Amino acid sequence: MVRVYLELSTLISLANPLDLFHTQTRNFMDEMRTFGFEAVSCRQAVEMDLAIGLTRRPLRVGDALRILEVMDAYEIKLLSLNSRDLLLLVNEYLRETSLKFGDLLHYAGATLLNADYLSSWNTDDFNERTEESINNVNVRRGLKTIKVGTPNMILRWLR
Amino acid sequence: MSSVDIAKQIHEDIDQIMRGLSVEDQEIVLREAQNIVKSLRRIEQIASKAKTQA
Repeated sequence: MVRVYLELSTLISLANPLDLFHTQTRNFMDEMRTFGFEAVSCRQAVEMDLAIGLTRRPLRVGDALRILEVMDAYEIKLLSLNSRDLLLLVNEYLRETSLKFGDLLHYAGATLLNADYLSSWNTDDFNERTEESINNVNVRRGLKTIKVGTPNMILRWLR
Repeated sequence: MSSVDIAKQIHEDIDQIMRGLSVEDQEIVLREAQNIVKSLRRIEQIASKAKTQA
């Protein structure tokens, strides 16, 4: 089964009907369901996003609850990893890329959860160039390589 | 703010907190984040229950 990892921007857009990418994300999720693909995200990465989003204010309580709600509604599996393994991989990525720790939690989550694709609307930090940097580390460590793209790109690749 | 702006802001904030910490301290932060989300879910459950009983 094809496993698609959802990064925070896709979860926020799915939860907010007023977001620019909301309709496209919903269509993406509907198509994923039709194809029988598995949607996953890393529990530690999402919990960190929500907790810091709430404490530093970009998210309101209602936003965080709505994100958790849509994850249930769309059967997006929130999967736990060994935190130490996750952090060791993030710290290795940190040494080799200019990406932020929050981004790297999702890259490491997608890698360790053996995702085939990582979907994000944030093309500044999730693109072909960053995919290559991440996969260089993954190949060296004997980990699965991942393909990174927007939901629309992933649908095009899979059709 | 769009979903992308919010996600980028949160990931920047996480970077400010986590970068430079030992792995042990990073693990503690992850655990505390888990507790925050657990509490959030519990508060929502209690609020929903109170609403249905009202």
